[in-house]
Amino acid sequence: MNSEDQIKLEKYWKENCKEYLYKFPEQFDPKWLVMESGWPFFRLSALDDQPWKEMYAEAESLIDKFHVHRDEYGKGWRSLTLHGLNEDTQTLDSYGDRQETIKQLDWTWVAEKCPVTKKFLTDVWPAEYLNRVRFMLLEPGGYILPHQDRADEEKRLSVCNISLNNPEGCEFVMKDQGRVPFDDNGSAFLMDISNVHSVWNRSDKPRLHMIIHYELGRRVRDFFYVLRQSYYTNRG
Amino acid sequence: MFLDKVITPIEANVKDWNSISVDRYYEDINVDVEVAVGILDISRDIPNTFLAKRTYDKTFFYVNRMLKMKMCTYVGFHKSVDKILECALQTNKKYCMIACQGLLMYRGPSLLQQSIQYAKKNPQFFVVGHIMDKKKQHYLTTGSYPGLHRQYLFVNVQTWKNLGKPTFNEIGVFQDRKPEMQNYELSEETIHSDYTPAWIRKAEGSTKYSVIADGSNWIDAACRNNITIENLDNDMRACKVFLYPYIDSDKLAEVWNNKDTHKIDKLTNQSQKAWMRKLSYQEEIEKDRVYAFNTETLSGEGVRTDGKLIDHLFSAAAGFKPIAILEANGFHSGTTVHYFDWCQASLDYKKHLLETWDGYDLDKWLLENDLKYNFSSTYRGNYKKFWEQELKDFGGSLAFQRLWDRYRKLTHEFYVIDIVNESAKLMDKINNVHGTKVLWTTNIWSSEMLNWNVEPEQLEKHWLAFKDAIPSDLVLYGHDYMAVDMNESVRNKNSVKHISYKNNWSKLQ
Repeated sequence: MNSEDQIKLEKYWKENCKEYLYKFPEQFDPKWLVMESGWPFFRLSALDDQPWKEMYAEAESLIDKFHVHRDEYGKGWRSLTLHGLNEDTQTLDSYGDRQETIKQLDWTWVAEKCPVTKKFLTDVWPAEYLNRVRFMLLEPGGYILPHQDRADEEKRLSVCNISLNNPEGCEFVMKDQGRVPFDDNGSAFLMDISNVHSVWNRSDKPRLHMIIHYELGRRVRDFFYVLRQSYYTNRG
Repeated sequence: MFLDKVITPIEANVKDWNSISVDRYYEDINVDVEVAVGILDISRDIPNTFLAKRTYDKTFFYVNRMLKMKMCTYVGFHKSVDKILECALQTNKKYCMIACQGLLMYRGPSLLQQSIQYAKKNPQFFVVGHIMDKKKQHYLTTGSYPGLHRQYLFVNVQTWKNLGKPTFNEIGVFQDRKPEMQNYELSEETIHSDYTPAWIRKAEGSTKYSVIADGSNWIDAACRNNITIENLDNDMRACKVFLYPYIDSDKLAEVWNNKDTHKIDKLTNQSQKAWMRKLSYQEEIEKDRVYAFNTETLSGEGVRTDGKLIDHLFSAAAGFKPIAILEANGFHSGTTVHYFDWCQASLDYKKHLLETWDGYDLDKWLLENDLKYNFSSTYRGNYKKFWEQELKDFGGSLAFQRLWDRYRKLTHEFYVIDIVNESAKLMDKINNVHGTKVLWTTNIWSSEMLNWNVEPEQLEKHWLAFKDAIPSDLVLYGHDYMAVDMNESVRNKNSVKHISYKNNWSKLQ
């Protein structure tokens, strides 16, 4: 790591690495939760019993196949696409006509090598359509500098980030919000990526996550069911 | 003649929208050849587990009444409309009634009859349901294509098949894959609100929608095939209530048994509030409610004592059914009538009637004593009409009066007994006498309020304890806890068991 990045990350961590405190309303309201709560991330606890370890093993077995990802603002960040245009699919808007791109989306060879992960995505994940789904690798010592994937005015919980592992010393921190409490044993979070965020793997192990971009379609109620189960679990 | 089966057309019945009891004259309307009924499992959407179970129990309770009347065939509790329709197809039914968990069809027989009448008049119809055009009302369906509320659907199974068995889609939101839907025309006439048009039909062209509602694709399919879908009319709507168990679930669960009026008033859904207020009122008035006539679905009838005269009749203190049982089987001057009821007022009324009424013009006697007793609202204000019906059943005024004279002279005993919770007390009385003994329990075991307050599994335990204590020489009239004639379920071993609730949503698919 160059010293400039080191200073930037240390300052960012010092200012933002804290615990995020939720205030849960008495009544669960899915629209409020997703669109209006302002919550930067939300754990989908209803999915806690998924076979994350098996999915981790599937991703780890392909670790030498990952492609370098966004090295302009990070180091040691790699990805491998399960569902998309090919094993190295970039953001869908980068391919021209989005509608044409959407029509071409399909499972890649990676999904065929990862049956447990694919079964989760087809049978459990509560959305009718998958857009881009990727394994994300952050190597030991790797980092992603603070960045923002969506404009400030587009605040909402959307993309799902799943920790297949999250070694101690590896942290995902959102500016002004706090640290996302990913679980090393596996955990799924809806994220509001309009928040500036950064990841730093200060462990000696690779960190493997999965990111799901999706379209709910006709499975709104299934999605709400997962949200509701999670809401009451998280609230305690 | 009383023992003849009486099937009176709906129009001839007195509608009592204030009562939750069913109409008496629907006994044995046999339209089973054509209709399947299934319950749509929406447990996934009901946060409160108690409420999920109890709403299923109650929906099944009303379905069971129709089954018992042989009006339809039950095809199960399923997570999708499609599965229910497939089951209907497999059982070769022409029509399928889909009742959502939480739908209380307290006048189910009437609803079914009206639905079948509609089907006969419109043989090519696809579905009758609640057409919802809530694009301005609900945040989830803002800008949505119209849909069909899943609480109640009456489907022409053949048309569904002809249309390619379209899945009944749920609410959907789309960004990249907006479905293209057939344009539509809505009636100007609405049923009760501006979002409930009387019908929907095809218009030219199609439009992409980013939001669709439940059943939008059925409307789309109907429009594409030039089929008009009609809404339920107000008479159909008045046969049922939907509890919207996914709204204020915890609050509704809290008032389910303890019907605290202050808490009921805090419910935000008007259907829930109105129904719970009605039940609360019903529970309050039933404490001293008096049944001058038998307005429940009539229990099994017929001669059951093999030609032996009745020596002892053990009877619920309600209406004139005990006299009819005595007349049908025969009795003698030494016959004793043992009245039991959990309510002292019902016993007091019986005593009073026996002591002071001469057997003529009951309507006038009831009017004179109208304020003394808490008579059921079903016939309050309609005494004359109900009395005339009763006389018709008994063969006219003279025939009844002669019977009443004989009946009055018998020995009458009165006991306050709650047969559900204190069945041993009643059995002690029965076992202490000898001769030809008859028991009539009316619909106590299958009554609405009992089934609301006691879970069917618990009620089944009470019933089995009662059943086990029934002596072998006791002649039985009345319903068991599943509304099956006790003679059938106990003596002929044709009992039916409640189908217990099972949560099928532990996994999403």
